[in-house]
Formats: sequence, C-alpha cells, structure tokens
Amino acid sequence: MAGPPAPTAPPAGAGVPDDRAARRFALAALAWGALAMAAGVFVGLELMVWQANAAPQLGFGRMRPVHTASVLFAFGGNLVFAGIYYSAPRLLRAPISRRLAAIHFWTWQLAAVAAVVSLPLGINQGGELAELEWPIDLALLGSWLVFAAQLVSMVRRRGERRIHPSIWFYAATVIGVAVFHLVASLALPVSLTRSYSLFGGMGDALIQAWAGQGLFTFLLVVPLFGLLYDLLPRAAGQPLHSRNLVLIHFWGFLFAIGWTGSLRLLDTAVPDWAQAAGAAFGLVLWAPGWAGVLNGLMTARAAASSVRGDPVLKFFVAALLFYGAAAIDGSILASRDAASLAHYTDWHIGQVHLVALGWAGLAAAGALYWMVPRMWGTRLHSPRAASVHFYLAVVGALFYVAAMAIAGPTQGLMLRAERPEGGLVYSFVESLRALHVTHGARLIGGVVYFAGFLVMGWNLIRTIRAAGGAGAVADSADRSPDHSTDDPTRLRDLLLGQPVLFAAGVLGLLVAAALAAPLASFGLVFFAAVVALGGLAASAALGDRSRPSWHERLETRGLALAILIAAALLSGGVAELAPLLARGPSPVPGESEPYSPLQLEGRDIYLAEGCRACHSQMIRPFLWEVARYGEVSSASESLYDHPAQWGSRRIGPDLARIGGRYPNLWHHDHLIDPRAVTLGSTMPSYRHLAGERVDLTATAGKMRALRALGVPYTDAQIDRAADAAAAEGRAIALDLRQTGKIEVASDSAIVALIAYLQRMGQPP
Amino acid sequence: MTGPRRTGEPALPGWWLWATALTVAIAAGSWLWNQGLHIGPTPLQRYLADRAAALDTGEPVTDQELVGLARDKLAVQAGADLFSRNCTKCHGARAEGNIGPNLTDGFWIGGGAPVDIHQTILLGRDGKGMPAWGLQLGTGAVKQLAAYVLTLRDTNVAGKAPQGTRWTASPAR
Repeated sequence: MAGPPAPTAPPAGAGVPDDRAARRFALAALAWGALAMAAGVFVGLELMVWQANAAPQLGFGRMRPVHTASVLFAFGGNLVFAGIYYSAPRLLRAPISRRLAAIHFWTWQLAAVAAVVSLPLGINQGGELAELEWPIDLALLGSWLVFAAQLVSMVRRRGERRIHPSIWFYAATVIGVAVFHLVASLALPVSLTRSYSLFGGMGDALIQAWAGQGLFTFLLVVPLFGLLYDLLPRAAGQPLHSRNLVLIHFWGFLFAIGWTGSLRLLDTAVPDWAQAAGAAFGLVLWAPGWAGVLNGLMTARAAASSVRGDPVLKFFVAALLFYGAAAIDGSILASRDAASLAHYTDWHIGQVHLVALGWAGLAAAGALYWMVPRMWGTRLHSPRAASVHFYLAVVGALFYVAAMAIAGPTQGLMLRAERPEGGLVYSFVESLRALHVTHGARLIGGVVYFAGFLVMGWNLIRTIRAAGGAGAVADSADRSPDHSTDDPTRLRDLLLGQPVLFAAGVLGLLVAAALAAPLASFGLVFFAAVVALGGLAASAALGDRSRPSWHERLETRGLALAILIAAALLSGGVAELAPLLARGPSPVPGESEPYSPLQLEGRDIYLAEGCRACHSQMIRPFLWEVARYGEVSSASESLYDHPAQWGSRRIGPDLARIGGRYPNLWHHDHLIDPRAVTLGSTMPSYRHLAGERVDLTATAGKMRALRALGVPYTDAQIDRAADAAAAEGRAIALDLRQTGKIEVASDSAIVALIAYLQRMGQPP
Repeated sequence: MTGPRRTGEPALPGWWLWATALTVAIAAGSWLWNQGLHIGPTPLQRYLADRAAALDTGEPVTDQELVGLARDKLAVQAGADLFSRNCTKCHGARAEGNIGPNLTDGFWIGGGAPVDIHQTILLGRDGKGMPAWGLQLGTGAVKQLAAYVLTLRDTNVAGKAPQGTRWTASPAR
C-alpha cells in the first residue's frame, strides 16, 4: 500500500538530505542482524544439543565469535552508520560525501564478510572480542577511518553553529571504537592467518577486558543514545527534557567507563589496586547511565498519550527501561561478593544481553521504525506488525535475561558448594547438567526475539517496496558553511577552561592517592572530594548566566570538543593500564617458561578452535576453585601468553592446571569423544584434529615473532624447532600407541594439542 | 525542537542525586578502606586465611593416631572407597603407579612416615602434580585415605618402578 508522504518535514532550511547512504546501511543492518541472531540461536542450541556441532567449522568455539563479531561489527556497525548518516546531516545541516559513503559502505561489508567466513575456518587471533586476524582488523580500521573522515567533514561544513548533543555521542563513538579496536588488534603477523598480540599475559588480559568492553559499549550503547537524543524528541514532539542530564550522562559516562575494564577481572591475578579502581568506578557507573534513562523517559512522558500508539516511542521507552536495569545490574557486579559468584557464569551472558537485546535491539527498532519510512518518503507498512514485534521482542528479551539470571547463580552456587566436613559437593559436569532447563528457556527467548526481528524486517521491506524505490531523495543542500570564525574564543582557552583544569586536578589527586602512602592517600582523596564539591558549588553559585558558558562555547568548536572527548574517554584506561603494561609481572623461573615448539603449535590450535569460549585459564583465590582446579593462578604463569587465554566463561572446567593430571590417552579419547570419558559433557568432538597435520616448518617463524615480543627463545631453540617438535610428537604418539593401541601421526594436530594441554600449569 | 532547551532547566531528580552521592561515598570509602588504609584483607589474604582454617586438623596428627586408624576396618574401607574414586587416575587401580608413583613399594618421594604421607595428601606436593586433597575432600577424609595408603605399604604390586627413598620404621617405634 502506498502511503501518503512522510508526516514530518525535514529540519528548517536543510533541504532534503541525501539518505542514499543511510538507506543502504539500514538494509545491511537488517540483513546482518538476521544473520547475527541466527548465529546466536545456533550457538545457544549447541549448548543444549552437542550434536549440533555437526562439522568442525560449525563447532561452538568457532561459531560463538561469529555471533559476537557479527552482532558488534556487522549488525551494530551498519546500524550505527545508518543512524548517523541519517541523523548527523540533519542536525549539522551538512552534506554527505557520496564517494566517501560508498567507499565506507563497501569496505565495511567486505570486512564483515571476511570476518564471518574466516572464523569458522579456524582463523582466530584468540582474544576476547579480538578474534579477527590482522588483515580483517586493518580493513575494519581503514573503513572506520573513512567513516571518521565523513563525520569530520560534515562537522567542518556544518550549517549549524552549535553542535547538537547527539553529535557529541557520535564523535565519542568514532574516537572510542577507533582506539579500542586499534589497541585490541595490535599484533605481530607471522602469516596472513596468524599473528600474536603485542601484549601478553596479564597486560593482554587487561587490554582484552578494557577494549572488549569499550567496543561493546561504543558500538551498542553510546551511538544509540546519541540517536535516541535526536529521534526521541522528534517522535515525542517535545524538546529534550534536561540539558544538565545530557551533560552529566555524556561526560560522566565517558570519564567512568574507561576505568571499568578491570571490573571484569575481579579476583584474578590483576593487582589489587587496579581491581579496586575498576570496582569503584563500576559502582558509580549506574548514575550517568540513569541520567540518560531519566532524560529519555521524562521526554517521552511529556508525550505520554501517544507512547502506546507510536511504535517509535514504545520501543524507545522499553529500551530505556532495559538499559536502566542493565546499569543497575552492572553496579551490582561491581561488588566483590556478586562478582565472585557471577564471574565465569551465565550471569554475565545475561548482563550482556540485557544491553544487546533489551537496550540496543529495541532502540535500534525504534530508530529504524522512525528512519526507514522517512528515508523512503512513505509510511510504515503495518503499525500492527510493529506492535507484534514489540511484544515478541520484550517477551523474548525478558525470557532470555530471566533464564540467565537463574542459570548464572545456579552454576555459581553449585561450583562453590562445599560439604560441612570439607570437600566439594558437585562435579563440574553436574553444574552443567543443571543448566539444561534454563538454557532451553534461553533458547526459547532467543527464538522469540529473533522472530520479532524478522517481523520487523518483513514490515520494513514491505514499507520500502510500497515506496516504489523512488523515495524522497533530493540532492544534499550544499549550503555555504557558517563557520564560527567570528568566535573570539581561542582553542587554547577552551582546552584550558576551568572545567578542564578542574577535572584534570581531581584526576591528578586520585592518581596521586593511588600511588601515595596510606595516610597521605586518605588525605588526598578527602581533598579531592572537597575540591570537587567546592568546585561544583562555586560554578553553580557564580555562573554568569548572561554570557554563554564555557560548555556552550565549546559546543561551537568541533576540534576542541573532539580533543576533550578523547581525553575523557582515554583518561581512565591510560591511568589504569599504562602502569600495568609498563611494569608487568617479573618472570619467575619454573613458572614463566616459553612453550616448547610443539606446545606452541598446540596452543595455536587452542586459539583457532576458540577453546577460550568455554574454558578459562585463571584460578581465583577461593577454596572451592583451588579444590577443583588447583593452586591459585599467578600473573607470572601466563607472562608469555600472546594473547592471554584467561577467558570469561566456564562451560567447561578451568584448564590452567590441567597439565599432568591425566595421561595422554585420556586427553586423546576425550578430544575424540568427550562423552566416552565424561558422561553429560556438552563439548564438541574434536575428531578432525586427528586427521589434520601441523606444518612444523612454520614453527621457527612463530618463535621468532614471539621472541620479538619478549619471549626468551634462544637461537638454538629456534633453529632446532622443527626437529624438537617432531621428537616431542613422536614421544606422545608412541605413548598413545603403547597405552591405548592408538595409531596417530606424530605431527597431527591432536598430538600438538595434547602437548599443550599437558604443559598447562606444569614446568616445561 | 532539535536542541535541548536552556531556559527553565528542570531540577535534577532528588532521589537520583542522593543515590548518586551514596554510591560515590561507598566507592570512595571502600577504596580508602582497602587501598588507602589497608584495613580490609586483600582477596589473596582472605583466601590464605580460609585455606589455613580449612586445612586445620585441630589436634596435630600423630603417627600413632594414623597407625591406629590403619587398624580400624571401617576407616580403611572408607579410605579405600575414597582412593578408588579420586586417586586411581594417577596411582593406578591397584595403586601400582601410573602418572603418580607406585604406593605399594617401600619407597616414598615425600617421606614415608605416617605423618608425612598424611601431609602429602593433605597439602599436595608443589610441582609434582599431587594436588592438595584436604581442600577437596576435607580433613577427616584425608586421615582415612592416609590410613588406607598405610595398609598398601610393602604389598609390592607389580607396576611402576620405585621412586624416592626407602623408608623404614625407626626402632623407637
């Protein structure tokens, strides 16, 4: 049905912006979203039915990163681009460069295809949300820089003097994703399909946590809040409720988020002070989040009568409520007691999906229901179908999150249960079997949510079809830019403005407090608090309302704004990570020893198969962990691990001290048929590893690369790598023949993997 | 309509302000408590204290007590059950040795006195692959296990070659 023309006029004086790029990205987001969710449903099924691991390429360890990478980069990225290409030209009254947009679009799709193809093939760098190999990382980064150039050019050629708050969020997205992705991807290539991360062990674990959280947040949270601050007031027909809340939300969130990477490493081998800093900022992070939630809800409340009828408002309001819940859950996870229970369990999976399904998915739907009809100059095909989507999405997300909220504590409590006279109550696999019902409920929730997404896809495609393809595209209004050259404020005055000096001073005092002796530390934090409160009171009392404030002047200067955004979002990460990267753990003889050539090859198989998706290598200082897995892990033990494999989820047991516990034959039989050894195991069979050969001629090159990164291999070790690896392999193959009458090639992948497994937690 | 309004700025919600102040105070306070003043234990200190408590056997275990237990049929039976469930992977189904040493000879890596054997089971042997079973099984079970292992001594099941040093009961006993 061909609807009447779009109900809203474009912003005054802007002409009709060129939405062609935004349209393409929106369609790509729909397609990638369907694939990403299908992958999610599939990996959820694999956890319940191990037979779903039907081929090596479809194994859980390889498919889970397909799900996460396609949600983040393919769906999230395209959605963010669609939103920003739609919103930014209207808010800035600036033209889009069509050529840059085309380059951006196609390079991004190419990189996304490469990502979802390479991971099932076992091309995996091995980090958390840093799985993609270096050529794909480079492609993504290059494409992202084209996007950055597009936004910079729009800001420079803008017809609007003041930069709208939504654009601040977009700028933070551009800067944040570029930095997090770059740092997470820093690696030394050995070949096209294998590279080793620049950082190792604890430093790399911190980078993975910090950058992983950063990528997730700056692709699925920050840009969508920017979009919501633009579209929600339009949909509600109301101005944004509060400017102060925007300021608190934006700057508070940017400052705090960078500190909270270490929050995901509570009770690991990360130094105590870094854990405590992450926990402190994690606890307060709910507050800026809720400033955003309240601002959105209050804006929508002013249009309360239309919330029920309008799909856009309905989705935005529900998204805000989910985000509010996620922000509080995040603060709960900053408490050590909650974190000790939640870590390595589904609690975290629930938290992530509270944001991804509840917030990002619903906010994306609200934005698409607003943008798509307007970009094609038509009306939504079926508001009723949008309503069906709404209920499917909300029910699906609630089902999913509720299932995880039960599954996480269930497994956490079972794994820590001890008998009164001492000793553990449950075996690991018993804790896994207990999750069967909740994992089933999660699968149902995911399928329902996915069905809702498909309903939206159908609805939007019908909407676009009805528009007949012509749409309301006009050339972009190439207005002469109204540069604020008449602004008397110099860049330096903005960058050294009172609020900046104030924030830098408080930050400096906090860092000094962290370094100082106990009593001085007490005084400094007290002093910082007094200065902070005094500064806030003074600015409130003395603020001159007749002149534009410092921040209002800042909003007219793109460069100054970008510099301060970068400084704010990097300050926490630099303050926390730089000292730990500069002075990592020292090598301990017997604990920090390089892997032998064959063990190194086995470790590469561990990385390629994505074993980290289910197995941690970090035993926390709790009795129940030590009883189950062995002595507490120290940072020096993983010193030469590039990248670190500390992991974040235990669907199988921790492997940090698996070495020497079982004979080679046990590992062989377990890898071939896990259920023959452990009844009830959900692990996929790794039978294919028995047939794959390891190229031992490449090992020396890998060792040379690792030596460049600081792993102390000697020339002799590198020169003899192939022979040494072959000898190691023969010894294991011989043992398998003697103990189990197993005939397996000494250079097969399964032998290399066994060599690695037997080394974990053991001296060489 | 696209920009936030400047005049008539609504007040920040009171509950939000108070809750924010409260969480900031808790965050700063716990930082000072643990990091500034070092009053609270670090996770590692807390673990070590828990561990010491869990492995505390009350009265010190003596050779006499363990030898006595090795004559107690029920205790030895319980120890044998524990052994077959936990120890055979490494020590073999008949304690003849596999990854771990043969327990049926007269040679001991960690010392062959009853208290030494008990200590090895309770706390493990660092770097030798033997875990601390005290945490997994509890201190009572470790005594039963030690009693059972004492009954295996010098039964000489054919298996792994002897490791460690020969132990002979001192004449004083």
